[in-house]
Amino acid sequence: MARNWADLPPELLGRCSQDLCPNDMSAFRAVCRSWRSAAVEESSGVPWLMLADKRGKRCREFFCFQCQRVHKKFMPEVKASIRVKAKRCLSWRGWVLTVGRDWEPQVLKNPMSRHSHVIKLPNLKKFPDIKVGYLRMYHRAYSAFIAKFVISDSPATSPDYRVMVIYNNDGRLGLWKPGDEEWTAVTSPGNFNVDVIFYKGCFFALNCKGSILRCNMDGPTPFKAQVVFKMPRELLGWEKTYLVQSTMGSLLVVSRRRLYEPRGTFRFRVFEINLETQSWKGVQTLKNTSLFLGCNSSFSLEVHEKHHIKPNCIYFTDNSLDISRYTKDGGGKDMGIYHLEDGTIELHSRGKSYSHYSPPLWIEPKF
Amino acid sequence: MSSSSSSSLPPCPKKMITLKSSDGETFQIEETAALQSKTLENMIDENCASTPIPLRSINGKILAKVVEFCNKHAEVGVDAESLHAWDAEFVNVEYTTLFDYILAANFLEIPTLLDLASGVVGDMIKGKTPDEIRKMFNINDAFSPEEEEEVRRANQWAFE
Repeated sequence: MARNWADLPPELLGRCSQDLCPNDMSAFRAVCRSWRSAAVEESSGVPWLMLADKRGKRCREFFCFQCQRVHKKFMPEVKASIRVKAKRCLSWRGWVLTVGRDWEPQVLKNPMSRHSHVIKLPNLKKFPDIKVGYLRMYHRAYSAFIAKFVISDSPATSPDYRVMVIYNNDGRLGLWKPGDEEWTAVTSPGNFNVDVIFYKGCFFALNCKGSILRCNMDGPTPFKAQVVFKMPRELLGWEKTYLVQSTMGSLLVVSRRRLYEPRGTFRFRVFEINLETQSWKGVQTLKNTSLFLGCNSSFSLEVHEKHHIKPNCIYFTDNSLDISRYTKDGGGKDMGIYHLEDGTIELHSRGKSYSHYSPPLWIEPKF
Repeated sequence: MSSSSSSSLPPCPKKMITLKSSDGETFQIEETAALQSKTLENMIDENCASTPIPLRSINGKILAKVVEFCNKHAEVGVDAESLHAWDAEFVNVEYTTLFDYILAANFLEIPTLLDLASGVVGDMIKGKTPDEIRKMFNINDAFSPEEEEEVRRANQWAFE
């Protein structure tokens, strides 16, 4: 007797597709009408690792943790050309910001998603108080000019989103919203901001002194960022620090200690911040969650064994592009999985994936 | 009466229930094994399991396998590793049989079997193109040209 797989009830088809990665899911959707309507929309949250650029290739490779395979995705926007030698890429919740030697940054929609969406941002010259001479003089300056970018809401669903960046070599904050032709400055005491996050409806920045600042967007321009919490400076020293939102919704400060090559990163510490009570505490275990940190996007994820992600770990990518772009191979070496329980580190990437401009990045499926 | 007299009673006989397939075959299954099926559990709770239970949507060949699955999973003292290997062998079958397992597991509400069989289908889809999947499962339902175009746009996965 013939069995028609197209006629399997939708809830059973959904069950067959529930553990597929976004790539396999899109193949599943393309099989036939009933499979298309039955496909599970909810994503597992397991990230991809966008691998380093390969000169002249219009496809980018992504390592998928869920299916443990490498997917290729057509992304001509990140391709280098003769004029734009190589593009710098940053990621935020799956969206990718690219900037090339033409100084024209653009944000591309999540490569895991099914539709293309390109947002053109104002030229790097359109930042307030920027000396064009500086950009011209150092031909590689564009690649480190924007150190971080964050989007408040998904541009695919919310037209009122905002883009916040940390720019220039003194870590200033800049804001852009749809329709603006220039970047707007957000003044912050002392600058040297090292991370920024959109948390509970506000942009928060972290500066090199361990202060957390809330960006006030309601008043007149220039907008101001004010200190709302100070981490004890001696606690963080000069370590690289990140702001991360935990799966439970609390604000975490993570510090990362690294030495120059070949040793690289060797320690992480996690602190939970309570802005209301103005207190902090050390986090000894992440339980069944893990953190993902690196060149831009930082996030936490609840872990399931079937997704090939280990619990109570910090998955990190190279975050030293400012230094590594002057080294022989570029960035991408300082990557691994840090076990919070015993402080050991293991590798997570397969093979070498180095680049002077665009080392591996985390791509989140949601947003 | 002393309480020691109860130890001399014969062991409680295993409670069996009878299942009847769509093609009239009957199968005996221990009640403890049958409890893995929520559908059968409900019938047992409502005292509807004293007569053979007719299962009109499941044929004898599949019902025999489902009973075998329930018996194996009700066995005491099976370590996880060997059960895993047994499960893998159990679903190493033709697509049509897999299809029947999924429907039977769904009808009888046996979550372990449903997860196992649908998981295998998921594993078979991994890494395949839509065309390969269609061939594998013998699916011929065509999209309309508009849908085809939408699917094509959504599937801009390039292979160099």
